[in-house]
Order: sequence, then structure tokens, then C-alpha cells
Amino acid sequence: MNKLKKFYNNSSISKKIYLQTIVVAITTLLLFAIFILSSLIYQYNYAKKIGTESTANTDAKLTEILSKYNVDNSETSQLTNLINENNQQIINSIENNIYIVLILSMILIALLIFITYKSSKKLSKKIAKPINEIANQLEISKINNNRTDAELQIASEIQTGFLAKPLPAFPHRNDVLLYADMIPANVVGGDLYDYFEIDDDHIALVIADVSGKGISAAMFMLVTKTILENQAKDNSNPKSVLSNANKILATNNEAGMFATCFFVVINTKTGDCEYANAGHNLPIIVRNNSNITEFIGDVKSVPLGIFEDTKYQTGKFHLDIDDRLIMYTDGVTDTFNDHNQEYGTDNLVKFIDSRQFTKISTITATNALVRDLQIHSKNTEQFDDITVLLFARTENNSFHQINITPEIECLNDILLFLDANISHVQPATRNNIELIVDEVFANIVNYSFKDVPDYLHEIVSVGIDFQSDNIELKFIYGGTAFDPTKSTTTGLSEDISKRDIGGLGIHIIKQLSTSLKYERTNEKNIFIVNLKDE
Amino acid sequence: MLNTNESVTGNTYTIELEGRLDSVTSSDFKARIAELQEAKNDIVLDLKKLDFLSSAGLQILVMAYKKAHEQKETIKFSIVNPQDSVVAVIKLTSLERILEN
Repeated sequence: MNKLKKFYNNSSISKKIYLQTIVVAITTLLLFAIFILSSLIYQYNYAKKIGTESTANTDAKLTEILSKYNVDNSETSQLTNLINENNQQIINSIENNIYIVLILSMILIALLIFITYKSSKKLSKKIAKPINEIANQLEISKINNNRTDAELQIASEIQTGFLAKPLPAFPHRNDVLLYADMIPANVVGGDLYDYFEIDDDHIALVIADVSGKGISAAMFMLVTKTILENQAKDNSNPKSVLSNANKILATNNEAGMFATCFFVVINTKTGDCEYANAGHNLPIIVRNNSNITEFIGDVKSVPLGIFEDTKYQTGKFHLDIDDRLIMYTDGVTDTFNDHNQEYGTDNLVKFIDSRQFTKISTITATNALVRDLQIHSKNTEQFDDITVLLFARTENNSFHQINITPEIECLNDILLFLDANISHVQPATRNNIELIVDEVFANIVNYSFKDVPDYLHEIVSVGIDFQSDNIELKFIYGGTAFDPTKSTTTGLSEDISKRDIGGLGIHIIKQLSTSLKYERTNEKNIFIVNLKDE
Repeated sequence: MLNTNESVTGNTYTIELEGRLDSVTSSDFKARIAELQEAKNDIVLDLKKLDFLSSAGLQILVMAYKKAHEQKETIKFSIVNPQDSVVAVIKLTSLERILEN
């Protein structure tokens, strides 16, 4: 808003007002001065003329009169001189008077110019004052807005900081997969997900949705998160964890806030799970052997923070290897499209059924679901926080691998998988790995699955393995037989302007790798790229 | 993720690229470049904040370069401020020439 002030002060407006006033004033004064001067000059000349005429007349008349009385010439001329002297004195006095009037007029004009200048300045200041005031007001409101924005930003950072845990979760474990995504509707959100290890064999998962929005929801959410984590430390019985947390939250809860919450403890060895639900959306399990989706639990429970004496019950379910547990907040089902139709539980189940959730990595499943929500809500404003969390138990596997669908967007899932697996390699090596992965995966999507109608049911596996300074990238994929090593490399020495721009990718792969291997077994393509850690 | 920031002076579009120009992000960008060149605009690509360039992105740069050189007198295309990792990819494919202005 300083701009407005500067604009007024520096630029044209103020100067124009000044100049225009002064020009008008000076022109008027000059005209006035010319008028006074010319009238004075006219008066002067008129007086002089009358004086001269009267002198001449006096001479003639005197000579005539005196001749009648026989006065001699010398006496006559003496008398004439006397009268003429007297006349001259009159002319002189008129002249002097004119000079005085002239000087006075000049002073008056100067004074008028000075006053005009001063008043024009004052006028311009007077106009400047309200403009400056508006600018100041705007400035202040901007500062306030900035302050609110900055405070919200800090709140968001605090929240993110508390929530920040590595994703994919548990990078040190190879018996579980966990990935989540939260998209707040505002800078700060009221959704919460959390995970922690209670002991080597027990993992706790939390998902919660706080009533309301903004800072208050964010604060209540952080309190809820802290209380739940503290309660779960001493006691892995879900009903006690929720009951105790509820009591703390309901006491002194003058703002009347509450949170729905689903809390589950998973035995990672046996797959036995215990949960308690405080009015939260029922999680979904996709069974690996049957691909059937089912809901867990009972909705008839009270959210946390309302009644101090609410007691929660523990429920049980079993999670087999490669089953998928999907937890989410109502932001998912309450996502509306531009025809005001909600995504709903039906669409959620339909989407899960349409994809092989049990075959793809939790990263890919989570991101695919979020993408589907974004497609559904295209051109509409998000009004609720959206949170999705996927969990799976896996077979012990030392080979780091991600399973994705052959959609180009899944390249981002591979990058997230790489984030978790190759953080220890040199930046240059990482860049090389990303170049190879980008190229091979784009080829798989564009060639192997180009004409496969049900490509979303197909799985592409990308694995990474480290042996001393050698890195092995392994791509396993169905679709059309496609051997990237057989791709032709275009002659790079040719003139760029004549060169075919395809084939750059395979050239890059060949340049960056130490060896390439392709085989087709059981309708599957297996492509292996080895490279050095630089 | 790829963020693009365009500024226009006359018929010269300066496009600042931030993030990654890869197989996922390149299709939208490709369409934009083609559209600008079709309308006979000059393009300056500022790669100061571009962290990653894959062959899919490189193809767009080469295409734009070729298009500008086919019509030498009418449109200009130049690349400025590339990061080392981006230059490395361009060198790997012996395409340094597209960096010459």
C-alpha cells in the first residue's frame, strides 16, 4: 500500500494539482497586472497631456490678459514661468503617485502569487491526506493479514512438524507396508493420522477427525494426538486407550470440541488386530485371497471429548499377509463433484474393487485413490480435510520392491519408493537411477501396455538391490513382449536438425549402466539394469 | 512436480521451470511450447530451478530448438541457466548445441 502513497507523492497527481493551480493563478495575476499597468500608463499620459495642454492654455490666456493691462514682457514671462513651474510640480506629483501605486501593485501581485502558491500546496496536501490515510489503512490491514497468514503458516509448520514421520513408514522394517496422505482443506487441518511401534511385534495406527476447522481444530488435534500416544505407551488395550483419552479430552473441554477416532493395535507376527472406535468412518479391508472388500466395526459409538464417562469396547479382526487395511476420514466420502454429487462409500468401494489394491504397493494405492478423488472433485473447492492411510503385512523380503500399475503417474510413486530406499547414495548416482527409472517405466507404459485394455489390472514391479558399489534395478512387467535393449539408438553424430528425437532414452540408459539384461519368462518381461554407485 | 512461471516482453516468453521435467510432467509443457511456437513467439527457457530432466523433457527442448532453427528468421528459442545435472544429461546425448544461443 506504500505504493499508493508513493504513487501519489511522486507521480503526476500531486504535481499536476500544483502546477495547474499555479499556472491559473499566475495567468490571472499577470492579466491583472497588465490591466493595472496599462491603466496607470494611460492615467499618466492623460495627466501629462492635461498638464501640457493647461500649461499652453495658461501661457496663451496670461499673454492675452496681461497684454490688456500693459504689463511688460519680462513680467509676463516671469508669471508664465511661475505658473508653468506650478503645473510641472503637479505633473511630478502625479508621476510620483503613479510610481508608488505601481510599486504597491507589484508588492500586491507578489503577495498574491505567494498566497496562491501556499494555498495550492496546502490543497494538494489536503488531497494527499485522505489518500495517505487510505494507504495507511490498507497497509495496516495488509500487515494484519500478513500476520494472520504468517501465524497460520507457523501453526501449519508446528502441525506438520508433529505429524511428520517418514513415509513410507517403518523404513527399517520389511514385514509391513504403510503409506498415507493428508490433504488439508485449509492451511491447517483437523485430520490426524499417526502410527507408532508399541513393541517389536505391535504397531498402533490412529486416524481421527476433529470437529470444526482452522486453528482451533488444529490445536485440539495436536492435543488428541499427544494424549493418544501417551495412553498407548502404557496400555495396548484399545478400549482403555480410547476411554482414558476421552476422559482427559472431555474434562475441561469448554470449547465443546470433539474428535472421531479409530484406534487399532496390530500384531505384526500373527496378524491379530484389536481396535476401538469413537464414532469414526469404518475402515475397509481388502482380502488378498478373495479380493473381497469388507468394513470393520460398528458406527454406533460416541466421538472423543463429549461425555467424560463414555466407555469404549475393544473389537477384533484378522489381517492376513498382503491384505490391505484402508483407513480414511469422511473428507474422502464427502468429496463433491461439480454436480453436487458426493463420492460416497459406494464409489470408494467401487474404486478399490476396480484396482488390485492387494497387489500394488500402499504408496500406489493411496496415490491412485487421491487422484481419483481429485478427478471427482475437479472444478470444485475442497471443503474438508482428506486423509487416507493404507497398511499391509508382507512376507519378509530383503529385496526392496514397489508394485505399481502401468500408468505414467505411478512414476511419482517410484520416486517416493526411491526416497525411502536410496537416501544413502550420492546425488549424481541418484540422478542416474531416476533417469533410468523414468526411461524404462515410460517405455513400459507406452509400449508394453499400449494396447492392453485392462492395463489397470496389470502390475509392474520395480525393485532395487545394493551389492557393494553395484546397484541393480529390476523391472518385472506383463503386457506385450518388449526388449528395451533391442531399441535402436539413433546416430548421435548426425546433425540435430535431421535427427529423429526418439531413442534418446535408451541411449541414456546404455550410457549410464554397466550392464543390461532382458528375458521373457511366463508371459512376463524381466529387464535388469546394473549401474555403479559413483 | 513441475511449476512454470511465464513472463512476456513483446513476443518473447520467458518461462522459468521449477522442479522436474520428466515423463509425468512433460506432456502439458510440450503442449504449451508447441502452442507458443505456433503463434510465432520467441521463447527463453530459464532452467535455474529445474532439478531433473529426463529424455521425455529433453525431447521437448530438442523439438523446440529444431522448430526455431527451421524458421531461423521468424522465431527464437534459447535455454539459460541450466543446472549441472541437467547439463550432464544433455551432454550424455551429445546435444550441447541446444544450449548455444
